[in-house]
Amino acid sequence: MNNWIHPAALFILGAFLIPFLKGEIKKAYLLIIPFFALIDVLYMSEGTYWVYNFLGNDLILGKVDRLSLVFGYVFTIMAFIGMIYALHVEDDLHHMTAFFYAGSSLGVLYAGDYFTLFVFWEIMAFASAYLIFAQRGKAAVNAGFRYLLVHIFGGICLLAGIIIHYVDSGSILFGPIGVDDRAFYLILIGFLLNAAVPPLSAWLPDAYPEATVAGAVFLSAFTTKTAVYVLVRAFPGTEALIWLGTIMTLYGVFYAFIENDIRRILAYHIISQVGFMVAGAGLGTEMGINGSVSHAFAHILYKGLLFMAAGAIIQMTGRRKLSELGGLYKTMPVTLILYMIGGFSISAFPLFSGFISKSMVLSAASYGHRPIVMLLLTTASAGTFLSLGLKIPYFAFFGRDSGISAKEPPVNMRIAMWIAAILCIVIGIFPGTLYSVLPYPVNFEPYTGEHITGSLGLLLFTALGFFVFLRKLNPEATVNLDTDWFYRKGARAFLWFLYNPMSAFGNHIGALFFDVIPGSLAWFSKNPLAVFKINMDKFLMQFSNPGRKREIENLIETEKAIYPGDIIKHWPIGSTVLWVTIFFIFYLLLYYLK
Amino acid sequence: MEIVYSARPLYAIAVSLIAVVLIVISRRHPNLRESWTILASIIKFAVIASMIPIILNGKIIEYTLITILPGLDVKFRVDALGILFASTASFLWILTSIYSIGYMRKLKEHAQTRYFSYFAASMAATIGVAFSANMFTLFFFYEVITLCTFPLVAHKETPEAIKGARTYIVYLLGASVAFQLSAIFLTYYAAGTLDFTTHGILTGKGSDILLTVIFILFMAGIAKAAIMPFHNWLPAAMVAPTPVSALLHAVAVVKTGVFTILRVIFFIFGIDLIRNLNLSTAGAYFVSITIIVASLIALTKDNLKARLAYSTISQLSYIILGAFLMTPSSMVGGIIHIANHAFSKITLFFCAGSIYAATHKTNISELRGIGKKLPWTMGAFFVATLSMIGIPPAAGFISKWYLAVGSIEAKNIPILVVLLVSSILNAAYFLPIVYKAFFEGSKEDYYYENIKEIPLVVIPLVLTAIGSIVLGLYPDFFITLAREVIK
Repeated sequence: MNNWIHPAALFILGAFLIPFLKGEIKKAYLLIIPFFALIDVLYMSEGTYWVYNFLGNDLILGKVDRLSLVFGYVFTIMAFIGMIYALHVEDDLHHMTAFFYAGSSLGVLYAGDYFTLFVFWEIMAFASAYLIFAQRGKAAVNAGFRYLLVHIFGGICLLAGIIIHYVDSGSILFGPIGVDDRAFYLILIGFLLNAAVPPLSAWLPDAYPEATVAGAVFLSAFTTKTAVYVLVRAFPGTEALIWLGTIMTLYGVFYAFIENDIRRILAYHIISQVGFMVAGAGLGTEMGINGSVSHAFAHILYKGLLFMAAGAIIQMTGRRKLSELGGLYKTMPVTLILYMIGGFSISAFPLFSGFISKSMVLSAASYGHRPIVMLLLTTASAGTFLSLGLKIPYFAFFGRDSGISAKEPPVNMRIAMWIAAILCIVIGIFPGTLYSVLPYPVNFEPYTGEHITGSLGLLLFTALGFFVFLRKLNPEATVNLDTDWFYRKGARAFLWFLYNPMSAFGNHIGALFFDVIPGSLAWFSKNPLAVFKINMDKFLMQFSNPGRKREIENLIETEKAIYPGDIIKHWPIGSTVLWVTIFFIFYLLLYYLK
Repeated sequence: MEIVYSARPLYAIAVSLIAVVLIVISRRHPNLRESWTILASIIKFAVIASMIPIILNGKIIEYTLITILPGLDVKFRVDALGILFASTASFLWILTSIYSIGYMRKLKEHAQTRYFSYFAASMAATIGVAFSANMFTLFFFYEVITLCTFPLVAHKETPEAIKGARTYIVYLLGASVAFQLSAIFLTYYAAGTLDFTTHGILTGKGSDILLTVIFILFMAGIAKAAIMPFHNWLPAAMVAPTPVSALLHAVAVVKTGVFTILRVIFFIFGIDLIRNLNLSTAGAYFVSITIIVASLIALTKDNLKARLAYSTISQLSYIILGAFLMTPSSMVGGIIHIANHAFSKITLFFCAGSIYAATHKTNISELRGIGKKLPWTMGAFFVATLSMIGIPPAAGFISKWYLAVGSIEAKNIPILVVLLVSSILNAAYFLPIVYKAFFEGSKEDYYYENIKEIPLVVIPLVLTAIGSIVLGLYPDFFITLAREVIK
């Protein structure tokens, strides 16, 4: 029996024990669970497991194949590293939600049907939102709420798609979807939103920089990469994805370039890097998918490393903007070294992990005869190095000395960073280890003379450009406009509408039904016949000559003054009889309706 | 269908009426008085639960009390729809009784004997509605509920409470006498009977215009379902003590309204007739307006109970929407939402009451940082919120799933959009309450205040919150009953 427990269950059920543990035992427990999950995933074999019948449908919790396995390895590795990094955090709920988050991402990976996928998808959104809220403070809380609403919106598109797909096809099995399926675009939008594809991307740079230091590390790993996984699974070879991915790479690079907040720069680079994976999924060839998956694998590790290093800077200095930092190489040399390993990896330097995965996506584009895509992706690569390999290190660690005396981060944070850094280098030097677990057999050699000289040339030329234009590149404290402007302002305008015109309308309706109508009814029923008389006189007045008109006007005045007293002394029937007559006529009408 | 004759439905109703007498007798001994309430609620639930196996076997229970005219009896009938409503309401009464004791004693409320006795009487009438075998019996109990809850709404006896109670009774009594009674007369006149029958009693019994008029009169007359524009009594009723709002104005009274509408649609008209009269799509769009507009109004309310009331208005129309879409999935979704919404919404009201009892705060803007002092309350609130939005694995998701599947089965994309937009609106007005309570405000906000959670108040609300999750994970019981209804 190879599959003894679902790794998601390990995390999600394991989380409930956390509040009951104390001190060292708790710390050990926080590491043992991800470690067990890693072992568990390593020993999983392909097949279909954990099938439950729920409301007449088979829910498949464990659909294990090579694609889900490789994501499972890196997710559990990153959960382990992230927990080491977060070990000093005192907030139990933070640990619990991190477990829920990692567990539900694993749940998405092994979900064999849309229902299961959706359930874990939503848990993921809520658990991750806590990691933003937990930072507290107005900026974080508002960003967290926006994050959650955007994800609920994405979840709803996905749910609508799933339901339409389910009703049309009668099956909830999760697999490739054809363009002719009515649900194609809804499901695609749901997935693209989590993959942060522009213009559905603004939530990511909005929320991630506001998260807790440790929370951002988890956030950088799971949400976008589960989205890449589901895109590879359900939409391989979709032409639109190639172009969306290519646009993403440049979009992220551009915004990162004009940004000042360290973690926001990193966040924009998630968009950029995920662009490579989306493009790889869009190419849909074996090499494209291999490239996409291996890039996701490498990316989770180096981006986690970069977020950990940036988090270390923020935690130790209390500052997060490049314009407020500088000269940290003296006091935080270890962090600098670790950051640079991440920076070289993401910039795809030879011997670092990004090189062996990004080059595979580029080659897939080249084999697919898409020179424009290849050119644009290469441009984005240069931009990546510019921001992450040069701009951040220069302005944070060197540059103008800001006079901050910061210490190196605590030992658990350093250990976590070292593990990630070593993995980045090991993958870079021995690409065969990663290549052997990819979904398709790999016929690709990254270390050819052509690849190495090409990329080194590009990187060195970028570095040259950076130092030539250094004076122009000083980061400035500005706010950059992204697509979240639309829903930030839109929501405000909408609320204004609700509070002003709509509630005024509501008050008018309320007044009409509670004051005007009952008031006039009461007035009417005090003496209905007199009301008839007054109205009849008013009516007559319209058709009278001027002299008579004045007479009737005076009459109405007196009638109104006497009201509700009797105007005419001797009416043949009382008002009650009149009412009864009216109701009889009404029921008679109903009778004839039959 | 096999019919079992048994007086058990009568016992289920009578239990709490006997309790009323005992409560009044032992008014000088509060502990004894409250133990009658608890005992009655437990016995009532036990009696109702004892009928569940019979219903699950596909049988129904009938019992005739008096025959007034031929075809006009005071008669009881226990079927799947009735037992679903009755078991939900009576189970929640047990928890509400415990909650009431904690809440009323903490706030040292006056006139507690009146409160507990009318509460028990209202529950008797609610079960009466659930087990009525014809529209005549149902109407009788329907009006009894209105009259018995009136003193509960006016409980505080302040001018504001009196005004609220007046609005309450004008709407409910006015609409039912003016419209529902006419509809019942016309039905009796057309069909010669008022008995609930599986495929309706009105098919071929009148011109289309007459039947449409009857239907519209029913819809207007059942104001307890709070379909706009007959909804204003519900926010007005929020002046009542919170346990009343929780059980009666989130479960018993409003669900009586929805239940009556379901009875009319399924058992007076029958689905086929409604469809032939072209009322199903029109009705679905009409209640969709309520779903969306009530949510929009809820967004603007700062008073917690008012926001919950508008949320209730919106959610009740989900149930009616499910019936109107008339596909198997949508009807199941609507019917199980009676139970799912009951558990979640009662939790939310319990939480509002717990906050009020502990802090005397009623407005959402005052709740910053309260989560640190009332962690169980706000934790339960969050869980119930998930159910309201329809996030798995909470119970609300199951209803939403069935309703959404139903909307596609009915080939009605606009309704799917309504359901999903409503989910987003639910998130927009519920989640801020949660994050304000937990993440906003400074540590010192409530530091010096002596705020504690009240055990008798917190235990029931934690249980109902757990119930909202359990119903999401194991929805089979109510779904089985719902399938039995539409069979």
